[in-house]
Parts: sequence; C-alpha cells; structure tokens
Amino acid sequence: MKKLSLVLVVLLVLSFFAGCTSEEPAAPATGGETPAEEPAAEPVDIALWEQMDPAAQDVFDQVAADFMAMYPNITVTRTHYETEELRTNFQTASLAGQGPELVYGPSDNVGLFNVSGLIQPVTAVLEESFLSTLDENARKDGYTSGEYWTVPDINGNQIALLYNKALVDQAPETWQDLVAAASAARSIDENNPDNSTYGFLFNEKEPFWFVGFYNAFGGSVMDADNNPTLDNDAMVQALQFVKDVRAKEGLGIEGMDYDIPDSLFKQGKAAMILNGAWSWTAYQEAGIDLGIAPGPVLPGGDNMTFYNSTKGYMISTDMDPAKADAIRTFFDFFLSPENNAKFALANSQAPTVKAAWDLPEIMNDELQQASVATIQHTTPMPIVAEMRAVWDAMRPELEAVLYQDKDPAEAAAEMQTRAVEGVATIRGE
Amino acid sequence: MENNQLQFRDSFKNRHFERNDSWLKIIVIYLILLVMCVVTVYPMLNVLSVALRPADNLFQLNLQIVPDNYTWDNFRRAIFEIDLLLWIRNSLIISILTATIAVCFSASAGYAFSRYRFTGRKTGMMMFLVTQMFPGPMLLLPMYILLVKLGLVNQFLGLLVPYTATAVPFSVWMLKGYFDTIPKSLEESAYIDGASPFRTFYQIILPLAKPALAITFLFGFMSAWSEYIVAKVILTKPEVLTLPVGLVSMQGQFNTQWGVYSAAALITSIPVVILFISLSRYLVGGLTLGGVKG
Amino acid sequence: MSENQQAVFSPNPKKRQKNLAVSRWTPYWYILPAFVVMAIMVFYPLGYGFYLSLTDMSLATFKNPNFIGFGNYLKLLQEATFIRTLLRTIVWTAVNVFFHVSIGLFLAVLLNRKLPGKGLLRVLLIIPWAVPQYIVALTWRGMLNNQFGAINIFLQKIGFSALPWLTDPTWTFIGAILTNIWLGFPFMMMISLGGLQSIDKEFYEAAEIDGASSLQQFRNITMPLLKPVLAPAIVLGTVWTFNMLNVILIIAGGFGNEKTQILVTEVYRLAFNFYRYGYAAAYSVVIFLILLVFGMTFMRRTQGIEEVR
Repeated sequence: MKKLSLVLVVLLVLSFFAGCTSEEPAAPATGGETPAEEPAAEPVDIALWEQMDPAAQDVFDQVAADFMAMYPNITVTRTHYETEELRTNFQTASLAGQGPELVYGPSDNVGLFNVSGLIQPVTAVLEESFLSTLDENARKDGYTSGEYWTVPDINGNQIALLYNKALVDQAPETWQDLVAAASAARSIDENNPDNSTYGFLFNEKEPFWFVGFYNAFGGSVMDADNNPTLDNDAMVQALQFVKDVRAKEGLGIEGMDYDIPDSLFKQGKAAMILNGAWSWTAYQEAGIDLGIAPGPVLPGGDNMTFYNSTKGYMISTDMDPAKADAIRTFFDFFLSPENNAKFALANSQAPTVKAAWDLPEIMNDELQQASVATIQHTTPMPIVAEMRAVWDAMRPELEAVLYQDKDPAEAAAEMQTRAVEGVATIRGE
Repeated sequence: MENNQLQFRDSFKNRHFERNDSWLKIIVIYLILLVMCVVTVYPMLNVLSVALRPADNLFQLNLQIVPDNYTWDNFRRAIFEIDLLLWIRNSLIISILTATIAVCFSASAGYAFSRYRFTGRKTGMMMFLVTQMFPGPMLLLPMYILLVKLGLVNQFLGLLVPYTATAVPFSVWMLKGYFDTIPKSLEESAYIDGASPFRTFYQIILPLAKPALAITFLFGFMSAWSEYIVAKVILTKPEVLTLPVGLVSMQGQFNTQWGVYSAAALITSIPVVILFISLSRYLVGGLTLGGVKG
Repeated sequence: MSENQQAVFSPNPKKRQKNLAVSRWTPYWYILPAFVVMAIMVFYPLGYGFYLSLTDMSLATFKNPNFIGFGNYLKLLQEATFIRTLLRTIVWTAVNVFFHVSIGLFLAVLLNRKLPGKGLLRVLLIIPWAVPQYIVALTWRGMLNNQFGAINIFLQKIGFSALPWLTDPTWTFIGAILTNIWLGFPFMMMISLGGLQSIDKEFYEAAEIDGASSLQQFRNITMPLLKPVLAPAIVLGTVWTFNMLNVILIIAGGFGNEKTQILVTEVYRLAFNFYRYGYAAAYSVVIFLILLVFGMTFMRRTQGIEEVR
C-alpha cells in the first residue's frame, strides 16, 4: 500500500506543478491602444462555443486578448467543440437554460437551431448600421423564415481542385485535360509502394464531395419547399461518372476517403486532389507548391460545382438582455475590417466585411485571391434541417454504386425514397 | 557428472517455473504470450509512427515504424503548446478520487451483500447490474439537467457523482464475490478475540481482499480516466477539461492535427500503465490463509 | 463473542435469522452510500428516459413536447429494420463476449503460474485497456484500410488476398468486431487473473493427488470457483458490448450503411441526426428491457448470486 500511495502522491504533486505552468492566463497584449471612452461598467461575461479550425482558434485568442485589454470589464471565454457536439451540447445546454451567449459554427446550424427556438434573429440585438458593413451574399446564407440569424465572418468553405505545381504545369480546364494530366503524372510501383505517385484522388465516399458532380450535371438536392429531388437524370449521370473515375479512367484508389488524398498530397505523392478551403494552409505549410483552381468542366455538364457556405456567430435566445451592449461591442471589435481580415487569412476563406476586401493583406494573399476565383463556381448550401436527411440518404447509395456494383438508376430512386422518409422523420410526421 | 547437470537443470527449472510444466509447455506458453503481445503492441506502434511524422500525415505507403524524416516536434507541441498537462492533471484528480470513493463504497456494500442476509439482498444486487443497461446517449440530457439543477456543471464534483455511479455496480459484485471466498472462520476467530465487526472488516478482511481492491481501484480509475461522453457535456470551461475531452477538441471536422493528437494519446497512456504496474503486486499471490488451515 | 456476532455467523440458519433483528440495519448502512449515488445518477435519468419515450419530442416540439403515450413503441415495433438490427446486435454481442472471455481466461490461465517475465507480459497485454478508445478505433480504421492498412499488407505477405475491409459493409462489421475484441479481452483477463489468484492452491494439490488431469481440474475446480466473479463480469461485458457506440461509428465512418448498424447506433442516429428524441428514448427503453431480461435470466441460470460452496 505504501509504495502505491507514494507513486500516486508523486504523480499528483508533479501534475500540480505541470498544471501551474500551463495554466498561465493569456497575458493581455500590451498594445499601445488606449481604451476608448467607456463608462465604468459592471463586469460582463460573454461565453462563446465555437467550432473553429485550430488556426482560427489561435487568432481568436489573440484578438480576444486585445479586446479584453481594451475593455477590461468584459471577459470573453471560448470553448471548442466539434461540429456534431457543438450542435448536441448547445441543444442540451439550452434546454437546461445553461447555454452560452454566442455560438459560432457553419450556417447550416441555423436550420436546426432556429426551428427548435434556440437562437434569435441577429437584428434583435445588433443594429443595421453594423450589419450593413457585411457582405449581403454572406448575410443571405443565414437567412431563413424571414429573418437573418447569423453574423457571418468568413465565406467559402468550398472544395476546389488542388494541384501540385511540381507535378502538374497548368490547371486543367476540362475533364479531358484533367485525365490527361493525371495519367501523365501517375506512376505506380507495385514492388515498392512508397515510390508511387497518383494522378487524381478525392474523397469518393463523402456526399459533400459528390454534390460537386451532381450539381455540375444540373441537379439540385432540394426544391423550393425543401423537399428532396434526388431521382433524376443528373443523379444517374453523376453516379455513373464518379464510378467511372476508377473503372474507366483508371485514376484513384479504391476506398479513398478523406485522409488518403490528404496524406498523399502532403507527401507530394499525389498530383491533384479535391479538398476544401480549410486545408489549403496546411498544404502550403507542408511545403507543397500549391495551385488552386475551380473544378474542371465535366463532359455534358458544367464545372464541378461544390457548395459554399459561411461560418458565423449566432445569438442564443437565452442571452441576458443586460449583456446586449457588451455583445454589440464584441461584434464591433471582432468584425472590424482588420480583425475580420485576420480570421479570413487564418481560415484561408473570404472575409465578410466589405471593407476588408480592399485591405492589402487580403489583396496580396495568394490563397485569398484563389478563393475568390473558385467561389464563382460554387452554389450556396441549403441550411435547413432537412438537409440531414439528404446527406444521410446519399451516402449508403453512393457507396453501393461504388463498391457493390449497384445500378445508378436504382440507387437514385432509393436515394430519393430514403431522403423523403428521412425528411418526414425530421419534420415529426 | 551428468547427474549433477541434470539436477542443476531441474532445480533451475523448479526454482523459476511451475513444477508441473514441462519445457515444451513452457516454450509454447511463451510463444503464445509473445504473439498476443505483438497483437496488443503493434497498433500502438502505428500511433507512435503517426506521432513521429511531420505535417499531420495519417497515412504512408510503407510499413516503417519510424519514418525517415521523423521528428519529436509533435511531442513537444503536445506537451507545451496545447493544454495537455492541464488535462492530465484534471483527469488524474478526478480519476483518483473516483477510484478511491468507488473502492470505499463498493467494499462496504460488497461486504454487506456477502456476509448478511436481509430483505432486498438479491434485488439490490440485481439493481446494481441493471443500472448499467440503459444506453449512454439517452442518459445525457437528463443527467445534464440534473447536474445543472444541483449547480454542478463545470465542477469536478459534477463528474465525480456520475463516474462513481458507473464504477460502483461492477465493483460491488467483484468485491462481494471476493469476500465470498474468504472463509467466515476468520471473522469468527476475530470475534472470539473480542474484535468488533467493523474493526474485523477493516483490519482483517480488507487486507485479505487486496487483489480485488486493487482491481476495483484500477477499474474505477479507468472508468473515469477514459470517460468522454458525460465529461464533454458537463465541462465547458477550458480550465477544467479532462483528457478525453481535451483530446477530442483537437479534432477538426475534416482536418485533425494527427501528429499532435497521436503524441498526446501516447502520453496519456503512460499514467495508466504506471498505475497498473504499481497495482500489479497486489494481483499476485492468492490469499495467505496460513493461519486457518485445516 | 457477543450473542449478536455469534448469531450472525452461526451455522444454523434459523438461529441466524432470528437474532438478526438487533443488528438488522447494519447491512443497510453498509450499502447506503453506494445506493444513494446510484439513485441520483441513474434512477432519475432512467425515469426521465421513460418519460421522454412517451412524448413526441423532436425538432419542432423541442421546448414543449406533447404526450403521446405508447405511440413511439408501436411505431418502433412496426419498423422493418428493427428485427434485423436486433439480430445483428445479438450477433455482435455474442461473438465479442465469447472471444473476450475465452481469450481473457486463456491468457489468465497461462499467466497464473511461476513464469519469469510475467510482470512485463502482463503490462503489455493490458495496453488495449490503457489507451483511449477513440484512438484505438481510429488506429484500427487505419490498419483496416484496403490498400494501405497493415492488416491487408500482412495478409498479402502470407499469401492471402486483401479483404475489402472498409468498402464492403459486411467486412466493415467484421473489422469492427475485431477491433472490439482487441479492446475488450484485457478486462476479462484481469478479472480472471484476480479470480484465479484467489483460488487456494490446496484444491489443485488435492486434485493432483487424486490423479485428476488438467482439464478435469479446470472444469471442476477453476470454473465453479471463478463463477462468482466471472458471471457478473460477463453480464456487464455483455451490456457494455451491446451498447458500444464509438467503435462502430468510427470504423464504419458514420451511419452510412444499414448493415453495420446496431441498436444503439440507431438510437444515436435518431436522436442526434434526425432529432427525434422521443422516439429514440422509446428505442432506448426497448434496449434496456432486452438487457434486463438477459441479465436476470443469465444470473438465475448460473446462480451467480449465490455464494460458492
């Protein structure tokens, strides 16, 4: 018993010291800013639950430190959650009246939170003079049921064609160009897999990628009433096309998911992949000579048309009205052109504050300009809650076509049936 | 001369191995155990591999454990850049507390179930098992609401109660079973010597149950250490996060910092292994009933 | 020795019962702390779950659900996929628990002897339990990768063909089973080891003298004496496996295919993908009842509640 207690005590003591060193509060930035004229206000605490990528979290902490130095009576605490958990936890917490004041996440949370009455329209708290500094398109992404529900801070989240300039000279403009470039770059060494280079890889299992093909052939997942429209020629074409990438063109790897293209591209072993704006900075940091282009034009269709969406702040219905002033101050600061630009750069997505577009750091940033170029060929993602049913319906049928030789026409029909059932379930019918 | 050698070999064998095990049996046993060790260790080598790779690479095309361009950067970042040490500290506190309380509660309950006959005994024991049967996801919401009402959100105490509740049922059964194997004659002779029931329990029976207590402690520790679902709902402030919640917070929707994540995961296994090593001396050896033979 | 104390342990049951009156409350005091904790943390949520299952709480009725009685249950029993998922869950549980116990017990028997290096081997074998479940599942998913996973590469090296682990749902399910077995056997090994250590060597010595073989010793001494410890472990192991969520979700990469779902992942999907909380609660209650029936039957059959003679 003695030895055990000793070991445990030692561990505990050590961990206390460890806790001490890493628990240092973020030292407020000693900028030369003098605090604005603020009436002596009582302390206000703003809690934010967010779903930011790691780079954005770092930027947030810096900006928050500056903010709290400038407004000593306001504290901002952020807690990070993964997408799914953010949804679940926010719902759970709101039900118990314990939620945060602000939630930050993708705009498709709006459909969900709005219907269950967890958030309030931003116009209830923020003034039009502030909101009009934001890009109208970005604001529209959070518009539903007659109200605006988000304060967007970045716009994009789109998938694009990424190519390694060392392996591919020029971005292919048509699908045929892509196949040619990929086949030229592809070299598989059976005996030593480490020597292989792949021409074209993408996450073939995930509907979020698949819609790029579906939209290119003219399909759209929902109609104006938010009912699914998945059983059509465009779907059959798209399914067959995606299957042919490996079957006919001989490109890709069977079962490629997210991590395989990502890893191989980072190692310089893949010439072209399809991946989203969140990943671009990481590839640059890995030393790849990165080229970004819109998806090529598909035969019989348009450019690959992926979804774009915004990420932004939502205000909880449980927000204490006394905090409204502090919240307005928060937004004025965090969505000033300079700060918005910082977030945009960290996320490699477009800023939403109109004045930010002209800032030199945005104008001169390669990834920013690439984002602008690729957004032209994207379409807004539906934000309604019923989308869940659509995603849920697409995945198994897509996999069945890819791996179990299911007939695309059958798959499309079943996709539609599943989606309709799912939508009914969500709507509570 | 041969005789002496034979004797030496035999006595060597008898000193280190069971008398009844032939050399062949011993070799086969080692082989099997070694194969199983490879099976348990190999996936961890994979994790180590990812941790040693730069640039968050989850896949590589070869089976090398240590990549050519290995780096300790991920470990450095895990320890210094994220709050790993803070999370470990929080988890250690909670897990040790949970384990200790679980041992106390379960030992006393297990003893009662073992030694006494009273109404509700059988039902009580079944109840403990039954409580484990409700699927996790559904317990979340009511548990959260309850803890909010009790003001225990973001408090370690708010975690202690659910964790103890998870660890106790099985521990009660374990300890009861263990106490069952201790003959009552021990307590009887203690009473003859004038000891009170509680003292007998504390000074004579408990020490004999060390293997079971050790397992119970380990079990209680583990249920708290790796518990994630309840923790992520209850702990929202960065300074109170436990290890599993902290680890998962490093995951992005699509892009996770695999390198740092793997390094952190490996680091978190260390305290458990240390605990296990220190507890395993209690798992050794059966009951020494030297005083009560015959 | 006071009359009370003598009475408690007296071999005569009648005498025992009668004089229990004075120290009647003692056992309850011993049990109280554990019971209180359980009452707070488990009975209340269980009750709430029951209540929820009788409402139609979903997205639209989030803040004020309506009471609909047994509607959810009727809907559930009429669902075509329910029976299939239930059967799949039973297969999942049975296979997993069987291997957990047999591998765990086997290893425990091997380790329960004088063996140099035993300590190190024990520590290495406990590793699956020590590593966070999430990491284990992710690592195994990597190892099961069709092209680059260690398992297929190994299979090919020894002359078999690669298996479609992550593209064929049946194989995905098997992959999840393998992962879960890897995760679960150390626990059973630990329990068995603890139990084996407590069996008095005298029993074995006596059996040796009587000429019993190893197998006979195992059947007639080891198994019965392990029962009080192994039986509840098996029930709990079954319950945990039945409700195992993480491994399947991570290996299957979500809720994609019906062929990889078990009951509890269905609950999760209904609750957190489709926001049908009331319905999901009914599902959970059904799971609970199934496990309850199993638990009680198993314990009664093996008489696990009784102490060992």
